[in-house]
Amino acid sequence: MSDMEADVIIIGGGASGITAAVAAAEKGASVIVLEKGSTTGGAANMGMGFFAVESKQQKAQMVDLTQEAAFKFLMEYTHWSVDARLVRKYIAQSADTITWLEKMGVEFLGAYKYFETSKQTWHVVKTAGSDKPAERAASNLYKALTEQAEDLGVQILYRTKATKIVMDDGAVSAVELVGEDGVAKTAECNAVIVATGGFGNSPQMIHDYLGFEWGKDLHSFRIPGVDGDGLSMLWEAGGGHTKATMELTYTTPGVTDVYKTISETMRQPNLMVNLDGKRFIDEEIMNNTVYTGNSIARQRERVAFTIVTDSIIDDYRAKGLDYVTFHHNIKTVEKWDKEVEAYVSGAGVEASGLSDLHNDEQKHTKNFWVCESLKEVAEVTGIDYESLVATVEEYNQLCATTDDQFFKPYKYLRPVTGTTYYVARHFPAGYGSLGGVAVNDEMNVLDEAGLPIEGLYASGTDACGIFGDSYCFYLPGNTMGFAINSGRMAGYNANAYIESF
Amino acid sequence: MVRIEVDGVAVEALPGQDLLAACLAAGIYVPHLCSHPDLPAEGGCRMCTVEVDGHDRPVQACEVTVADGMVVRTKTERVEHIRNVALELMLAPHPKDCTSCRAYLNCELQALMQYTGVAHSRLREIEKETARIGASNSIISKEMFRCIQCTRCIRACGDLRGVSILEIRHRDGEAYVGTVDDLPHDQTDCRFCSACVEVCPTGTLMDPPGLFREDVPRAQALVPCRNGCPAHTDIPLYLQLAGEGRYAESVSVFREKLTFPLSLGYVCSHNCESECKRGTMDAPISIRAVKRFAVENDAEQTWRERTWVAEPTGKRVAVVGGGPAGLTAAYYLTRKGHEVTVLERRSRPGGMMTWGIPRYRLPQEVIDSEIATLQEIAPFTIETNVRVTDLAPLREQFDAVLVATGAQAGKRPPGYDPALSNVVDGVDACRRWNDGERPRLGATIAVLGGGNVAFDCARSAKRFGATDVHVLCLEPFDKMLADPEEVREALAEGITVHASVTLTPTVADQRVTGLDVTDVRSFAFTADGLQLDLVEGTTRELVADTVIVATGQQSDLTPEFGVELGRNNLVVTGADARTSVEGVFAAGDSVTGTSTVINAIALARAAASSLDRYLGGDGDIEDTYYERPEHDPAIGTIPNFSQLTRTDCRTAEAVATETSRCLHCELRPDLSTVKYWTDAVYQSGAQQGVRA
Repeated sequence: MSDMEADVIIIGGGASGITAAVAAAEKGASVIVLEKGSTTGGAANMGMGFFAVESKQQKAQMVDLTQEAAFKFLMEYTHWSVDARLVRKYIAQSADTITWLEKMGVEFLGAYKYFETSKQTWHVVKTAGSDKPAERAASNLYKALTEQAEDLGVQILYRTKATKIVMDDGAVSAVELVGEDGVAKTAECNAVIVATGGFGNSPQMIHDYLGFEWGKDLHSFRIPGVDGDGLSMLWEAGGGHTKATMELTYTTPGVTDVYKTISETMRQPNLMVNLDGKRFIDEEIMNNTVYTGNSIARQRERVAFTIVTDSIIDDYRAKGLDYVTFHHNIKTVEKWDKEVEAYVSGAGVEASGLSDLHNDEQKHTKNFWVCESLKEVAEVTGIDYESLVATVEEYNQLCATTDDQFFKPYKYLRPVTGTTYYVARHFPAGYGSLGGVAVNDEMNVLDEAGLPIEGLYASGTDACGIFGDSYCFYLPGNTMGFAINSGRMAGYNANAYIESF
Repeated sequence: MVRIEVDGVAVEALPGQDLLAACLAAGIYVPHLCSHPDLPAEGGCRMCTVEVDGHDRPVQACEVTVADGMVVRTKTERVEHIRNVALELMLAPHPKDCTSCRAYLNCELQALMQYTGVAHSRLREIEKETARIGASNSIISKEMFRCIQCTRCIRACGDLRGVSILEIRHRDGEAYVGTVDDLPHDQTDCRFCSACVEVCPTGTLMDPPGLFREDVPRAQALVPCRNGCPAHTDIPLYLQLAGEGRYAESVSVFREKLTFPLSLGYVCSHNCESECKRGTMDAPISIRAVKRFAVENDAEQTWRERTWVAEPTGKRVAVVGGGPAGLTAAYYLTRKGHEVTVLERRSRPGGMMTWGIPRYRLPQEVIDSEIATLQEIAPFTIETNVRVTDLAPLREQFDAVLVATGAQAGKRPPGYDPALSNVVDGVDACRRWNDGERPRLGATIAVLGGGNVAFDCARSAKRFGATDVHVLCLEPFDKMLADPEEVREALAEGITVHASVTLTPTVADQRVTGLDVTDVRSFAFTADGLQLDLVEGTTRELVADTVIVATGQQSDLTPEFGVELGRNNLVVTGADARTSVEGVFAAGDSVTGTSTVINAIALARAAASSLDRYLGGDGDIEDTYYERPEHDPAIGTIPNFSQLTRTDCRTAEAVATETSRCLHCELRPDLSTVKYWTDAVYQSGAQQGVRA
């Protein structure tokens, strides 16, 4: 009882799925894409660009990162705990993927770093009418891929949810789905590519596979639709489990993304302490949000606090902020007073972006305070008072000499002195999950025994196990880079599998 | 027909149609944002800018009426520039918080950014002081900082609904969308119809998470009362008709689905009311009481004139069991032309309506008159005092059989041996009371269970002389299975309710001499059985003359009956109500275990339809007793709408007030679904060579 059929069915029309669709169709396969949302691009619509090495942009910008150097860097970073064959293929294909997309009409602004010491691998997509890197710039890339897919005859079914991968004698044979009209249907196929973007919107799976309690000790993005259904279907179809991770970052719930000046200011490399009132990090690495997230996640109750004073704010008023990110682009503290007043008055509760997903208690939890004394800081935050006083005293001494504790550079050593203390509470956050299902270097899904399952492929975030335990921010653009490149590989390989019949 | 040319392609448009609608209908995508198919054009967003030959300047397609010979270009550099700048202006104050927005991937603004390639505003980011005015409520989630002022919500509220509580407001040099005087919705004329939410292109106005079920098709989920009713009775319509005093028409609407509407008016478990959206504001519409009032005041019964009975088919059907399920199936099968005999084991039909539900809740005359009505229209035979223990002879005599024997046997927890002299099953107690017996139960009665049967027993015992009646159950007070009304009435009658307790009986001389009652913090049914988290030190003893066990019922069918039975001896049915035996179908409590009258009716309708198909019929048992006029989208305002409290529905005025509280959820699915640029209809247009 089949309601439709195609050579390849792709579950998920995000970065990886739509790329896989174009790749498979380009080689002649008939393709159906099942997309839960009303448009393509998935979580990648929020992104700006992606990873490549030895692209013509990098050559033009005199970036001296070679494929060999990038490969060795990533393998060192992961202690060779990841699939070297897959990493090598990914890096080898990356520059060609840029050219491939340019042929579809995508323009790139060039190759960018994510922070000072990162590599220059982030190929940011140009937006219409602007020559500046902009949040959400990548959405435009998915228009090009979608149109290309349509031109190649790919059928994209929107507001359609896949529910099951049907296996027949060890090989993929169909996908069960619920259409836009709410009616269950079956679509026959010879190959399935699952590219549903992980489980960032599933508190249950976050709890079960990552050990965090969302809303309590983790405040990661909850992109609607990224519910882990692809992984569940893959496992049900016999796919092997691998350890999932999360691209950890850190956040100040209710402040980050709403009160951007407060948020960015409290993310400058100033004194950071844990609940015990102790310093635990060289704050210089706070621009590497993965490392900072990792570090916060191992503190008691998984929280940390940054403390600045009015004298530090005055310094920023005069010189601007130390760290500026492309995506938030807050360079000064000109809106500081206004934002602090708005936050303290509670005007932002409805507008905090927390109102839907967090419960009432979480919504009304303060994560930023203005205090008159360290005593008050300790009272509102729960930081051990005596230890905090000792730490501040010690830190202020370091500021006068040198940080022989964690070796933070002198330029970031601003003493905690003044009459007003500003404190922000930071929690681990993240973009979403990474990995969970075993694949080989052809993006073919492996069973628990490590043997390939005929016709079953996974790509993008569901299958992304190439970063080891922590996302590699030193090679920025990697999540989308892997999504697009692994999707492209999966598309080609699924087609080759069908042609082998 | 008007002939125009769009991007070099000949397009036929309707006279008087606007150019945007003509292009979209022809499968040519023209970006648009403030425009919505159900709303008057606003011409504010400039996204649908196009060039029309003969016009010096680009025009907005939504504001131009098509004319013969019109030559249109939708993708010139000039129009794209205008659209892009317009989008940048909209994006300047729009937060970049897409990742925490529930509209992600279902946001028209996001899709337009994708379409135009404008992800970034070159303008300075604007933070509006007025962006946080407007509080959410239980029906409408408002995140006004995402508003792009397309004014669709204002037009939906005003032009479409005639309510007009939204407007463009001004403060400190800023313009924003808000309510009149910035009042919370419940202090305005808001009717909470959610049209504003439906048309909002962004994540500004949204349904709060969990407001609608997600496991059924959306159009169905949007009308929670109708979806919640097992028989999918057209509740919004019959409420409206009853409110207008058109009782015959109101009754016609629910008669299309219900065989015992008056009985249901007394005792329906009214899942519709539990699902009613107004329940999240103050209290649900009193749907059950409106139904009862409508039946009681329907003098004409016009539905009878529109009903039909098919020509005889010559097929004979036996229905085993004369409860609501059996009688409903008999009624529809007879109307489909089959000769039906209902075999009822007791002295009168009605099943649990007659033998389970106490008379103070549902008078016998009501049941009898409703059965008589069914038989008047569909003359089926009821044979009483016939107990069927083996299907085989019936299979010989009839072409098909429907099993509707109910869940007749009490189900006791461990420790309550059937031989105990002062322990009775609730289902048996109710049957005996309804049969006129007045068993001597003593002064103190303990009823085990928290469902409707437990409360029926407790309240009956009280009526028949017990002075001290206790209901004891494992569930916490707010999770008891009984209707809240039953619990309320029981408490008012002086019955003591012990929720969140577990009991241990003390047995001597074949009697329960006492019950040890212990508070329970929580409980769970696991693979190892019931797990209890007891509150230490709370055990006390309750001494009762009689213990009534009302902790559930099961089917009393045995394997000798001849169909496959599952857990609790319930009949195993596959698709279409078929049992393991060819030609034998089943419905009602014998399939589901103890359930409700409305569920029995819904299941029996499905089973009758299936059985009719088995006998060669078309299975169509749908009735239309009331021709639906088109919905009037303009609901207008009602004074103090949010403050109208639930009424008792005892008078026509009270019914009119009560039905006026309805939020008219049924109007929302009438609104058009907006298509995105990615929609197949535009892509097929593109494949015909339209795309630039």
